[in-house]
Amino acid sequence: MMRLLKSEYQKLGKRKFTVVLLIALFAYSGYQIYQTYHATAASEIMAMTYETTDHQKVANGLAYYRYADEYLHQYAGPFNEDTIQKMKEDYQKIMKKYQRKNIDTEKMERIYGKDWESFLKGAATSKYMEEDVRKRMERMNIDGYGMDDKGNYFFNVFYKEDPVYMLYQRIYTGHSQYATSHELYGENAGQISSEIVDISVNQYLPRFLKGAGAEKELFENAMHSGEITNASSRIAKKYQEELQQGQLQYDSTVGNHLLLTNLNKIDFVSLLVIIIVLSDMFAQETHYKTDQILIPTKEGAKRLVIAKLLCGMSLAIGILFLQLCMIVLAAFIFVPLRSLDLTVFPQADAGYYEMIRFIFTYREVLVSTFFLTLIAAMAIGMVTMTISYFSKNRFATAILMLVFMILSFAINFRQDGWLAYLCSLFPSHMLEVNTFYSWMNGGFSPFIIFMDMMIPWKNIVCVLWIILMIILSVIIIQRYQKHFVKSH
Amino acid sequence: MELTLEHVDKSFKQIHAVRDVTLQLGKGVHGLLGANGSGKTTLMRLICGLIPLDKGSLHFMDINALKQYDTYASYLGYLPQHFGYYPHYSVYDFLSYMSILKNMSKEYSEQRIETLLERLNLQSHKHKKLRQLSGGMLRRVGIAQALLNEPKLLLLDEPTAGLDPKERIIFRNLIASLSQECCILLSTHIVSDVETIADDILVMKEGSILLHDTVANLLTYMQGKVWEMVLPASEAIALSDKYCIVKQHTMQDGVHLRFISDTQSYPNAKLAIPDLDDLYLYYFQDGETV
Repeated sequence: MMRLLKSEYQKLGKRKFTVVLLIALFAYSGYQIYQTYHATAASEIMAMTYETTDHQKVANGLAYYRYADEYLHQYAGPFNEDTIQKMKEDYQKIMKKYQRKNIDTEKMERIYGKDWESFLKGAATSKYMEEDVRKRMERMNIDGYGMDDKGNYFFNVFYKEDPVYMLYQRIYTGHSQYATSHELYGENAGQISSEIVDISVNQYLPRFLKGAGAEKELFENAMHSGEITNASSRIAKKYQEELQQGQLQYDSTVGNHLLLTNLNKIDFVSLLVIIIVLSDMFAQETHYKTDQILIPTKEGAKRLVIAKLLCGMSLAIGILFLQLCMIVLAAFIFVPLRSLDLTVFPQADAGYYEMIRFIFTYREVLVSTFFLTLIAAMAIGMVTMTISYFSKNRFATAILMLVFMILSFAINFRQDGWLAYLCSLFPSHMLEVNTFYSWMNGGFSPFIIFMDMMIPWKNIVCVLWIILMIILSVIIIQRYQKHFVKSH
Repeated sequence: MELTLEHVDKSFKQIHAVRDVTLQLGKGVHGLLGANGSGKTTLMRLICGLIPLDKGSLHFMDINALKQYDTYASYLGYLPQHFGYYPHYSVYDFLSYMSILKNMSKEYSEQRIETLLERLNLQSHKHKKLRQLSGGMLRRVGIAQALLNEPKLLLLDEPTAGLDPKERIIFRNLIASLSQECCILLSTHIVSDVETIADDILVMKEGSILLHDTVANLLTYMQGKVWEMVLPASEAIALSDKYCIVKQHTMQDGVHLRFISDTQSYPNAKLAIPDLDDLYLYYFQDGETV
């Protein structure tokens, strides 16, 4: 059987198209992974190089993440009120020391012109019409800038303290922003400016640190039925108990979170490649008419079909597993992982905001991600091979599978009721792992309550697919034993 | 070593492709002659197990092919009429793949492939991709895969299609050399393929076995039915409308004709020694409508 299995791999490998497709997929994955650690962060800080309090330049995205991880790691230990208080104090200290006072006039002149002050003031106080502003700033796309309800534009104001101020603002709050001309020249000028530090400390940081309390409120607002409320309440209660009992640990989650961000980047493209590669699995024998010489052999029919199924499934798993391994390897290379028993929460703008916070540990999410991703790969592989088996036509298989994929996108998660649960069964949605941990999507709950037991919906999805795959495999093997060629 | 078919029957919707065929074939070469559409390929596929029997039974060496198909298949070698192959495989890789399917050990298959490549004059092409081969070479690869497992029952469906005269001779010699080791059923509509090597001939028509006998015995059916004569060109045309013309050759003294007739229709017609071409044309002179 091993030789037969190996020969089926070789058969796939002998097609240059398959090899090129797989290389392209892994190159695409590699690029995506690289982007997470480099380009995303780098693009945001392109206009400015961050600087640490000890005057070290943080030159690019990767350097930023590494510094943020090291910096937050200093707070590693039990997650309690003392930790929260220490962080608040440190942050306030930096914000006050590097409070924005000195405008970087050189930069302002370079961007807005020598009369930058009168221009920004005019733009913030209805002196200029929108057309005037656009004409003046024709070299820049101003659509991304803010506008108040009177149609006044407010532009970024650059301070000499920005490189340090914004670095720590981003590390502590997961969020950094330039000051705006509105704060300098708008109706409430002065008042807003003086509140900047307090806003950061009192608004963003507590929300970031308080965790479960805020999440509980969020859950309950989003709940539709009593059952779901119970599920969220139970989880929130469990978290609060753990917090009170001092069971929770704190550490930097920058590396962990970037890992989740990359895992979330595995998308339908991988499934599409599996479909294209496997659509030929049972069709090529009919296409090349080799079924006539394969069936009347000692290893023919049953063993051949088992080998093909194993080959297809292992290839599907292999493709996704290799991508997962690339992601994990990148995590070790770029920003180290901290304890996987930390509860999931984003820090230092390390992306992946959709994942519900403070409830699940990274270990739980990672195991589930691996499991869901691999089951999704197997599911798409099995469905493709089943269609390939029955249609005996690679193009028909590819087209039907594309319809299947498009259908899954047509029904998305942001549905109410049973439709949300139905679409979560599609393999392409199984890759969106955060959905199985989030209450954010309408009526979809990560848990269902059955006989007073909380059952994760993702487990039900996996079990359903495993059962379906077993059924399909048995049908194919049984039918193949009675397989006969068509009269050519 | 005997292949036994009893009351084998097969229909495809409205077409009754094989009608109640009962056969016993032993060691040696058995030629299956028949026009296109006579049911030869269907019969071959039934014997191979590629299509299910509607009725009847199939045994080889006391093995019930329907019940013990795996064992039966281990004795089987089959070259289909339309030989399918993977174009991106090399000759050697393709034969290796087939050897795995035939459950041959790696060492033995390597040795066997080399032997067959040598015998079929494919040694110098063994690393060529199948898509690069000529029709004749592909046919030889097809024959090689059928012979890989040293089959006891070898089924060859139109094996010489696409082979040039030299390749046909090599093929015939190869088959003749195997005839003492296994039961070979060779389906063809090219009479010369089987004339010299077949121990017996089965003539198939409209799904039934019309005749089954040795070449010598079959030719006795044709005794007194094959005639030769020379006629002026104008009369030769009239004759071709009345009789089945086997050969026609225009020379200086007139048209030399060889034709089939149950009686001596012309006083100057001379009896000729019949051969299988005469027999074939006698039974298939109007295709499947006779």
